[in-house]
Amino acid sequence: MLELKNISKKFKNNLLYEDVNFEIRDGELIHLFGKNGSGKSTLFMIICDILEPTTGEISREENVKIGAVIGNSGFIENETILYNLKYLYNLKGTFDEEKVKSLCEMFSLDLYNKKKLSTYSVGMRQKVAIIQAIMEDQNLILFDEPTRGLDVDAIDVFFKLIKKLKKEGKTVVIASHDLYDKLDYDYHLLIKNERIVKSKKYEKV
Amino acid sequence: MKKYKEILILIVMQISVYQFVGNAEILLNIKYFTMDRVIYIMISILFNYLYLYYFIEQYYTYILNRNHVITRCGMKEYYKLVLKKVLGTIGIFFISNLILDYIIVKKVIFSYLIINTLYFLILIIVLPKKREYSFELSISLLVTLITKYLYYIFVL
Repeated sequence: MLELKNISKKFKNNLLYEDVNFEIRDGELIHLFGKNGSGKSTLFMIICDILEPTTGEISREENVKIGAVIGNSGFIENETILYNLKYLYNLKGTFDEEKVKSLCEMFSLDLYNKKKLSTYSVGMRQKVAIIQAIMEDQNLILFDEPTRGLDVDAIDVFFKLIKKLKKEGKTVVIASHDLYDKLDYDYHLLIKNERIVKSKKYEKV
Repeated sequence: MKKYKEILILIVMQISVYQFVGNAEILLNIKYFTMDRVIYIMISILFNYLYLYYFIEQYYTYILNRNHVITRCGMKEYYKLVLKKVLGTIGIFFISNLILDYIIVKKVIFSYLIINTLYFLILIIVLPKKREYSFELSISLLVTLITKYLYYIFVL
């Protein structure tokens, strides 16, 4: 589905990682972890084409459709949820209102709420970010600290959602510090000593 | 419907700016620094700010959503979208200036037009990329004062 070949990323004199080689296959559930500042979000940004790697290249299959929640998701602040989600959906497709509405209901959000997004709490914004990452049937979904700001109920809904996505054969990569034992991952990716190591078991950083 | 509203706001603001620009010609004949002149500059800054604020909002549609848009469309298409938006808005700005010049002062004043367009371009270039760190009012104040100062020195 997606292959990273000899990827390295350097910010001025700060080398995040070098010689990164791994492949992400269809239907995998992957856990990415590492210390703060080790480059988890940067790796997602490289995969999403937001940042360019210093060296190396990424090859991806043509049918790969990426959905991502990276850092503090930016939205059009003075518009509603409906406007924001419709805008993003319509960039590459036709807005499916019923589907988005049911996703919002799943996360106890009102799609037709007239409030501007700037008035929403961190948790509610995070829910909108999760919805935008999956609403277009994306088959590679990247979540960077997805439970940030979510309440207990929403975290439960999120876990159910991940299990459902896995059943549907979608590939999910979750970068987090605290979700290492909550889901049945296929494998873990550890960023350590400027390298990304694949391991079957979670080990403390 | 929303687009019509936006165009209406644009025209009303442009007329307001020109009303004050028109008054300024009379006020500029006063050799010394007077209260009228101060009021004119203040009001002019306020209108310029409101006018630009409206356009800046349009740009942030892309800048705020940057990550989501690039994830969907890729970097190249994102820049194409932004370029289209910038050129489109500048085009509308230029044409609306031309038309309103003609309607209000019955002639096209190119010096006003060029200064307005330059002012607008400078603002786009100096704007920060993140909405929460922008200082539109301060930038507006600074650029308005500089362009007006240059205008007084070199054009009038």
